[in-house]
Amino acid sequence: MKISDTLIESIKKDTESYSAWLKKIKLTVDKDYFLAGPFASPEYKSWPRYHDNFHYPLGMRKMLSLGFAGIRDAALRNSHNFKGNQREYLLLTHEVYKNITGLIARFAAVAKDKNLGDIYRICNNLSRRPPKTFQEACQVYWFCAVLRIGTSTIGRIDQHLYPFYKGDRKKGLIDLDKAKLIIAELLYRFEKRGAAKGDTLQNITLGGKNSYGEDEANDLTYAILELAAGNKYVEPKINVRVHQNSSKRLWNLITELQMSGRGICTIFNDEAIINGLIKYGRPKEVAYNYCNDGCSEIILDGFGETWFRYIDCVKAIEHVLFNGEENLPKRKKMQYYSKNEDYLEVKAPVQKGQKTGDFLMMNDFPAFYRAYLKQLKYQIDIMLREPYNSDKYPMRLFTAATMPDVLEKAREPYANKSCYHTYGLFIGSLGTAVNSLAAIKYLIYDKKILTKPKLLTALQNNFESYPLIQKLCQQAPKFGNDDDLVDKMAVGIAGKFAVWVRAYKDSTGQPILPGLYNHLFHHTAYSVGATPDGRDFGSAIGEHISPTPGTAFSGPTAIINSVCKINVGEQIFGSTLHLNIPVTSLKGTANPQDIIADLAKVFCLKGGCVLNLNVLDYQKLIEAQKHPEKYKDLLVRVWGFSYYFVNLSKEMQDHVIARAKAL
Amino acid sequence: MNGFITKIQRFSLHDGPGIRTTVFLKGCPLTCVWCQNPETIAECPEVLFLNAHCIGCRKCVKSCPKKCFSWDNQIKFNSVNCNRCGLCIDNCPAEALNWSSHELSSDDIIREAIKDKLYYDLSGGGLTLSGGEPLAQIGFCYELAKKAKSLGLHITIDTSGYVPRAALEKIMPFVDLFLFDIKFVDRRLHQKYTGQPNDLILGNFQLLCKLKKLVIVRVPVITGITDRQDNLFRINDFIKQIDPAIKIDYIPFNALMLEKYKMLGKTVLAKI
Repeated sequence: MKISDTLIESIKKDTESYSAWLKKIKLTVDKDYFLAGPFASPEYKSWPRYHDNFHYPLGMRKMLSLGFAGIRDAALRNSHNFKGNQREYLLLTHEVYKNITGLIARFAAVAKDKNLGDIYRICNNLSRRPPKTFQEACQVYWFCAVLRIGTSTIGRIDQHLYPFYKGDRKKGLIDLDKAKLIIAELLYRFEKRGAAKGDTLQNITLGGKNSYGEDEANDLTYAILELAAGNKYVEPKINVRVHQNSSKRLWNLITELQMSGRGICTIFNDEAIINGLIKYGRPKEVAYNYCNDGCSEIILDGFGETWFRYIDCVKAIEHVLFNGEENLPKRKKMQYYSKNEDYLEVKAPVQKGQKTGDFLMMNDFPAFYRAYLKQLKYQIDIMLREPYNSDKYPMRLFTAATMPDVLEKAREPYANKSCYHTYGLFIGSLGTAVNSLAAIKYLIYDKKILTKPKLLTALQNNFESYPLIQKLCQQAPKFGNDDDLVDKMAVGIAGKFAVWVRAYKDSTGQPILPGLYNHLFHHTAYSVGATPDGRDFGSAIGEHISPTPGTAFSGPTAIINSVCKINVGEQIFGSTLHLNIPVTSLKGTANPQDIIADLAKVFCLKGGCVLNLNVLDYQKLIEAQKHPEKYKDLLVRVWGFSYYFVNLSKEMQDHVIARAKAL
Repeated sequence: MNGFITKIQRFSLHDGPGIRTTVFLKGCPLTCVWCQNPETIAECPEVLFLNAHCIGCRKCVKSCPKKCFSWDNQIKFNSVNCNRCGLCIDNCPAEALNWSSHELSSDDIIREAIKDKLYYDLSGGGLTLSGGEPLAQIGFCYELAKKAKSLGLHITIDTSGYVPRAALEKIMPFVDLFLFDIKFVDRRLHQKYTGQPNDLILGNFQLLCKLKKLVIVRVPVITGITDRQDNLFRINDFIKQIDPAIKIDYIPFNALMLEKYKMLGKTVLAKI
């Protein structure tokens, strides 16, 4: 595929400003550290975010095998095979990497001045050849973090670094303790770089199995998990791939992190996810290389980028009830998740629905359900009508060069078939949507306890002065209690969603991936009015595939059973269950860590994809809300990251508390 | 065969090993003053009032012929005169009034219990029959235990020990673990606080030990009643004399039961 003139123009502009930006990087070299480089990247002016959304890792395998110098040379060498814009593209790549190796040479010079022999040698080597030792590889890792401008997804760090560690061990250059010290510094650097900003996307994915079914957890995997259990960092966020042959040691480390309630250890189930990816046309060797995105989306490590859109399936309930219109009380602005953010005006992704007829005229539940599916399909069509990318937004050359076939075939990664981009569509809040459907079926059509006009009036008034109707609604059957009648609806909606989304293709001809995920659940709580499940405007809404906070009262086994009835292997872009175990329920049990591990293992056996399990202390959260000064280091899960509870906005704190109360 | 069940609790972690499902059976021959599950004492179903579900429609006040309900900004429930006619329950639109127990078949329970089979298998858990005194419904327990055993479930019985020896012998082959309550060794104190003497209980305990059944003793620690030093020492001595390997769990008092008395419209048996 040819590279168009407008595209090359845009790339040229970005390359110019990127090269100018490189000069601003501070040449920080310090005798107290193993690695060179500043903690933070300088500010990048005229920020064209679309050149990189930071939701995917660099192609680190390529980067580590070629090195900066290798990419620089390959770009120049290959440019002779092409002409026109393609040649230009490679020459520009060459220029970027020439500037980068120049920068690293300057680091070497500074280190020489300061008499830091080790750092000098490493930087000097890296400016000329690929990394050969573990410390050199870690140095490449850190330079890449700084050079990518923004904080971004890190990927399968233990797998990328392990060959270097193994090589050094063989040669007797390093022992585990030394490697652990360097890794600890790398983690510390990520923590400092994230600067407790919350949603920084700095995710690492550890462990996993390879295509021969062998466990890939190694010394570095365990080292990182041990370090994470010992430190009190927010960054990097830790994700672990588990499978049937995962070791007891791995599970112990995972559950130790989960018991802490910090929410930093998310489990990814290899069996379900890899099968799902293969089903969606990803080749086996690529699928086995999955890792997680900035939140809990699943992407392919080193095989291209990702982007997502989302719709809200609760909103569709509102559209049916009010014939395509919204039912919002006076618009309220809300804070983003953090106290430091500004107040936002919240809007649903699709505000107006279709006209599906008057709710009062729907005489049976199937009619209502049909109308609901219609509204949902309408939202999907609106969201996927536009293609995910176009020539306007090229990938920054520094990043693009690490992607497959970019240097070899002088191709822009977006249209590159060997890239396997991950484009997806999310529906969030499935739990609340299903609860609403169940309430309507149960109260209005089956038991006939409530009339349609009464329900509509109550909803229009946000249940204010209708407490009786609200209580009735709250007592209708709810998702997450292993109740087949309710769960079946969730299964049905999720299945339809997968089919509809799959019909759409991205620019490389791959199907768009569906996911049951909604990182903006706190947002949705304010973009949807009162719902028939008895939830009033602004109250917590179900996140991802988790039940609505406070409505699953049959225990965690029932929640897992309910959720796993959904064929989440189809919803491959990320279907995360946030499961909170109250600390009180584990009190006095002999091996709480084993209990938690068993819950997680059953989740995997039943085909679940992503599990974020936390042991939470409800009382502690209430206390922390009252006396924030005493709980400054209390970490909780938000969506794809953990954050200090006391720094969350009031809305988000309430959501987390409702979640903890769930059982 | 049907049994009377007050509750089926999933993800139960304190009634035997691993992740379990605990079935609470109704009816108990003892009336311990500290009873943690007062809704399981009586054999017959009682009316249970859940204030949290109440929508304040006052239909119960109107429908009750015995005037058990009164209105004082919220519903007040007193079950002294209750003749269990069930009119209030039929009339409650919010499901705030319910029978404290339900008649369920052993198949119903198996169906519920089997949902968590995977969790039992991984964690070494299973099914626990508790109460009340589960063995008071020995016919039902026997059928249930037999069916559960045939499905490979680990079975624990949480018993007060105050059951006919024949009942114990009947169910024994299907039980993997007994959680056996011992409250007092002193006969007089046992009579005073539980309403019955303890000869049968201690005898049954000795029988289980003699037959080498797996037993864990549970001692409820109730301030001012069972927690006296001499009582705890005597229990310990009594057990260690029989078999020093037997594990003793001391169960702390749970104030949640005060809420349950309110739900039953009853007053607490004794101040604790």
